[in-house]
Amino acid sequence: MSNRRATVAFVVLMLLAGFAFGTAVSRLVSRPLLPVETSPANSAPLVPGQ
Amino acid sequence: MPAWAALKRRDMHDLNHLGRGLLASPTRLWAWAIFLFALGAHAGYIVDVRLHPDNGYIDFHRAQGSPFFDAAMWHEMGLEIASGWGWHTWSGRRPVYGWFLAVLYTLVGVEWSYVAALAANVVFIALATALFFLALRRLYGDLIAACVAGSIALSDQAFMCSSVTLSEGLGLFFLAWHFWLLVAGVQQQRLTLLAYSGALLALSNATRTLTLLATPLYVLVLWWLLLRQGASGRRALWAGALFLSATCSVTLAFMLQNYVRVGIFSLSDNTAGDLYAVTAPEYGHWTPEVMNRIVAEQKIWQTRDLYKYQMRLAKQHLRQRPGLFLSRVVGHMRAALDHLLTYDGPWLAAFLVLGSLLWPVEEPRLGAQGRWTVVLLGAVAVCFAPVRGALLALGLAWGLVGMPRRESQLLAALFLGTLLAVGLFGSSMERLFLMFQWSSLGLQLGALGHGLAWLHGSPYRQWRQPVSLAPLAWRPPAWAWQLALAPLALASVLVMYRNTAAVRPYIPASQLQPASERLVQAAVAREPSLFTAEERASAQPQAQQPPDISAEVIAERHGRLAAVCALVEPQAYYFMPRSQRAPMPNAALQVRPYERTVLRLAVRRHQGPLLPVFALAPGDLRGLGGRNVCILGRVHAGSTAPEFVEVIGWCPWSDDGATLDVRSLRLTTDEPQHRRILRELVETNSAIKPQN
Repeated sequence: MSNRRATVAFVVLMLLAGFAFGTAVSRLVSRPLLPVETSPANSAPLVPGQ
Repeated sequence: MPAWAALKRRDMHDLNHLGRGLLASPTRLWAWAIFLFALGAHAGYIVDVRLHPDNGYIDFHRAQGSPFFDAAMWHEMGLEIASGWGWHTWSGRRPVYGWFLAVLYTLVGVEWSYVAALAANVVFIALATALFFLALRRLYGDLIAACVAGSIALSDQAFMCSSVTLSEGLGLFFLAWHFWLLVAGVQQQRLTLLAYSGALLALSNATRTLTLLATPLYVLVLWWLLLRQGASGRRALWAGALFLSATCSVTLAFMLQNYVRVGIFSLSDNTAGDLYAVTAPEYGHWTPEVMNRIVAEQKIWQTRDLYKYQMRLAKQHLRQRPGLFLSRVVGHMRAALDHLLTYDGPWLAAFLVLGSLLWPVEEPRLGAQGRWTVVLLGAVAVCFAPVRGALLALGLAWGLVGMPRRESQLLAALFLGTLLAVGLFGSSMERLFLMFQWSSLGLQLGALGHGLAWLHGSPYRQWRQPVSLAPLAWRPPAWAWQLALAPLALASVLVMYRNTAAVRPYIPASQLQPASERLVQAAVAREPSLFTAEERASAQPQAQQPPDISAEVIAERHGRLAAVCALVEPQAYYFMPRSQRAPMPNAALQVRPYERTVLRLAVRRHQGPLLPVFALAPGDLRGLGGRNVCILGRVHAGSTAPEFVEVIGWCPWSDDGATLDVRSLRLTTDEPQHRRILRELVETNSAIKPQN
């Protein structure tokens, strides 16, 4: 395989692999980043955060 | 030579064959692989989240595909400045991200603004990751650098920050660029690079990162490192002085613009709030309550007054109770470390497994025994946070005493400076961890690498690699820049002029004002018990403040006003577990983020306790199917965001926007009633096809 074709294949493969990974993360993970007890819903903030 | 040929021959350390081409060396292969994978991963995440808003991490910065909370504020700031309305949203906040968004929005136009901002985030995060790799490989070699960079690119925080309009992506990019130049500057002893690096440190702090307190430590380390490398004492002093002056002058420039514009001599207005909360006996760290109480009790609204009030109190508390302040700073630092070490576990796990597989490539002399040592150490480090703490301490110590790679002192300085900032401001919020999570991981994995190197005959000595500032293969010739720049600049100006002209001529809401007055008066007359005395007084025509901008910006573009019923969704909805969420009747509304933001701006500009929001649904928007609705809301004291407007009534409005049917006004403060009314409004119109 020539260097140019190898480069193109490498770029496309990395992008596709990354895309698949990101999509999988989005679909598989759905936990809240803040625990519910401390989430702003309970403290009812009136002002966006710092 | 292609990199895999090098991999096959296992001569990873022979970097003398740096030729042209993407794959010309293992380092380039790593750098490009990390950059492209991060680019793809964040693009994939964002595309999926945009297509399916319920996917992804549940986070309060994103609501049904629109920016929320802080993300909404940044988006507003960008739109506001780009539209020529001035800068009112978070006017004293660290400015760079808002300015960047404004430039971007004028270039791409308002309709693509949000998409463009997210695309920029993806590029910045990917670039930052690649730059972290390039900087860290000079400290710890390719493998550890790749592990640390990968852990940043693929962490949940990075996905969360890149998928909304938050300043972390751009801030992280500036920080990575700064650190790369810093390490290169030290290794090459080039003072210009150090000056650029200092300026970029300031720029990253005017964007987000809160790493400015590392500056004095950096200066000390720079002086020490240059002396150890054989530079003269004078040159070593010059290096520190140049770095310091570059950092200070750029920081001062940003502080001065805040002083001239808002009247506060600070990089960002929220430093006062943070400091006040840390020093005040009743708080400890900033929460929205700090601001709400000041606004409610002291009736202070202006950024400048708020800043001065909080600073005055903070100084007073500092004089009265310095011990309390110090104990809190230490407490915050301990909490941050605890959080960090807990948080690092899964990342260390993933990358140690990867590392143990790849280690033989990096260090061919490491046999099966060495590989098992990595796996064993990794397993222990992953399971026990105290072991991670010990690794971190070891890495710090190793960095500070300057074992094989003395430049790791720079990483230690950055880590300590950031930790101090976290302690001082009490900002132990998760988003800040992106900023020094990578320095912590670098130190931990670095320590692990040092340990293994010691166990297996110090292969680190082989990792001294020639420093190159051009690790990426292709560089355009100098004349190409000059040739490309002129038409590019001209095109940019033309595009900006076109977009600004399209956005700017909003119509003062003279037509909305009489309707707004009628609505408020009718509501107060119908159910006086729902309203306070102040609100009843404000219903008098003379007390009404007309909203001076309106959703007619959207009308300009679509011919009619757009519906923004996202405003009335109960905020609790966003924090419910997915399984408990009831299908919202207005979830079918596909409001573009910029439309919602423009209406938010209109809402924010309105003064007075009662808030008429004219949310109208043109036929081309799915949702209320052409039915126009006017929403009456109550503004709570201290509220600056319409999410917190309490909705108390709905009223149909004619399609042409000219007549208001106050006889059909529905009033309630009961949340289930809200849903019922909205559902009825939706169900009475056959054109509505809810998606859920």
